Amino acid sequence: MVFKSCKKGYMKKVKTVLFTLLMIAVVFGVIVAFFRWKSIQSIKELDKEVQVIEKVIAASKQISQKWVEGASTSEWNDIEKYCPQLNLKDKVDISYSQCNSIFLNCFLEKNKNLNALSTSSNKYYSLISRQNSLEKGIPTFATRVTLKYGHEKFNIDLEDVCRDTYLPPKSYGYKTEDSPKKRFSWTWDNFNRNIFIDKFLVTNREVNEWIETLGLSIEKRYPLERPSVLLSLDQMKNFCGFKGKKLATAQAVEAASFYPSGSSDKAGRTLIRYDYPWTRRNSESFLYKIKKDTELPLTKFDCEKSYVQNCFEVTPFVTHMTKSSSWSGIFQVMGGPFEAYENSLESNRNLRASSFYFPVESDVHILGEKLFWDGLAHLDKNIDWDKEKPIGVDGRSLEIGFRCMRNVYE
Amino acid sequence: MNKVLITLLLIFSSCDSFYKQDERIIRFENILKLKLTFESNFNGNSKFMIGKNIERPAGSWQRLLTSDNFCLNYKIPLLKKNGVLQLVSTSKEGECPKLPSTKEIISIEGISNLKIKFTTDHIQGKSVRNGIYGINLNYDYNAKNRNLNIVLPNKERSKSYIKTKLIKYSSSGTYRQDKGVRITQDSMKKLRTSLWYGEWESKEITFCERKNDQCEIVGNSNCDECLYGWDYLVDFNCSGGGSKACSPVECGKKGKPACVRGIQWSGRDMRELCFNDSPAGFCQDDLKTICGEDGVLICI
Repeated sequence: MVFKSCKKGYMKKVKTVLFTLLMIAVVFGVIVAFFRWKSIQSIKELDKEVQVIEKVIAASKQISQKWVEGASTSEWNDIEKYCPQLNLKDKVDISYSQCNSIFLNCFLEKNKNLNALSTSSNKYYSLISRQNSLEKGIPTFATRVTLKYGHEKFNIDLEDVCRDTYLPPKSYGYKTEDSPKKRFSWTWDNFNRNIFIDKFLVTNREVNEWIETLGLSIEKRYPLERPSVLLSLDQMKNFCGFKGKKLATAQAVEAASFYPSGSSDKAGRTLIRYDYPWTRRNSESFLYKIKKDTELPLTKFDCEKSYVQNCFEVTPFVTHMTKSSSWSGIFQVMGGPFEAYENSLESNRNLRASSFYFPVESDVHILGEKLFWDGLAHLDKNIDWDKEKPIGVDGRSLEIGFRCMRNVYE
Repeated sequence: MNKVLITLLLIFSSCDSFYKQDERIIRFENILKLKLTFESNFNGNSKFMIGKNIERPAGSWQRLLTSDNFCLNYKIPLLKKNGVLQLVSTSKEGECPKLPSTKEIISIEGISNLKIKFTTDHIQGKSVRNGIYGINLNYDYNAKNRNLNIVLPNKERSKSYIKTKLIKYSSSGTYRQDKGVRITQDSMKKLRTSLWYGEWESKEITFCERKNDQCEIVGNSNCDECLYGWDYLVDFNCSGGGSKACSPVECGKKGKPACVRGIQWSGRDMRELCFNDSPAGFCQDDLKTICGEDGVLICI
């Protein structure tokens, strides 16, 4: 009887122990299974995050490609429909759409699959500048597109890589006031230096971006695509500084405009001067030909090269025109609005004279002809006209454009 | 009982014993991709980043690579013991912790025959078919050879690449994987602890790079951090120009640095350009060039 009850008690203890062990095993198993499940989840999460990174890189490629290439011909032919925000008023060259934040905005709006985040209504980009941000590593100025994937945001900063061109290292000439005929008396070189010059005159769009970014009390100008022609000289310098550049010097713009002579690659040679940016022979230039024979007609093709006063009767002024490139790849070097320079050598010659204020037969339509602008306002009295004041400029607000230049590390 | 459970939970959650071996390496590789892809300022250890098997000094810890926020370390395997790859964070000052480091983000044991190198999609200016711009790691793990490519869109291109690209019609822009494009993770954004260099109205020259008569850079070179860009000064005739200052320099004006004219136009070749009436600089109107106290040509 006693043995039976002992056995019963022993069995009960064994059962309790077994049950406890079983419970521990189950709990242990559940914990192991939980952590294993967590590990698998973590691997899957990581996989997803890596996929997001790959998507961001792919999207950035698509966006940066569109940024640099701008509109396709078919998009440009129907640009008012494709991108009404550009609000084009003038005839504009397709190059205007390159590195253009407004055009990029239209592209992002139409490609929602890129996951660009809108900063305000229908605006898919923001402008970043060192002037108002201490964020590490940002360029002096850039257009920022933010992509959103899940909870994570990725910023794609796009620098304007379309606007300037490299000035190859050479000896260059600058046309001084007392320059002799056919050659340069003042030369310089940029061996060992990397200089980039704006291809185009700065546009209202870019200046308005500057005004917006810094909240300046300067009047915004329109149409956006036209050159910015109503800033004071100090404002021009400020704008270029904002972009990490400086107002283009007369020496650099002329270097990029004068057709280089064969001896410019070698040191210490005499440099020949050619009067027109497109040819070494004067007789091949329409400006020279018309000056010699005023009966010759001015064509649309001529005006695309250099928009002089008479061109208003021939064809409308096209902004951002790329039909007339200098040897180095800069545009708008003759005709059109005036162009202001920084000129540390001859401070009283800081304005390109060739412009649409002078008739085609005027002597100012050769490279290197300069006037003086006091930089304060845009009236005829602010310009020292030297020998020839054109008809019809009295009391008018005269258009004076500008371009910037920059130095770059090798 | 509770204490036992808590201890068990802590042990389980801290170790990665719940990953299979293949999962461990995939996890490590993915974390490496996530952490390094959008990094910039890469600095590779030139002793090891050459794509050759890293074998010596066996058993030692070596730093392979640093970036803005991370450091990649490697314990070189002894003959029979496999190596360890380890990713650690930099300190707030941007420095890597001393080796061996225990504060790691992740590490993986069992690595051998590691080869690591920066890869490029361009060689001598020409694009390489299927080239990847980033880092390549090749190693043995669990008796299998693995190859890991990490794309680095923010890594700046080498000087030689830029040199080949600086030709007529080329435009400016920071040379990264794609020119002028930078990708950052918003959550990783960091602020500078000092202002950008340069002031719009500064009486003194804000040097951002000084060169000596041997054309060596003396001290820091930080012209890329100037607020308004930078300009060349006239002191020495060096490849890449002489000393530089943050803009605006207002060259040519009285008391300001002379504008750079170069020296080769004159048919002469000389190293030292800072002397009175030097032909290497020019000034406004009737001003003359003299060598200033700072050792750069100024206008007076």
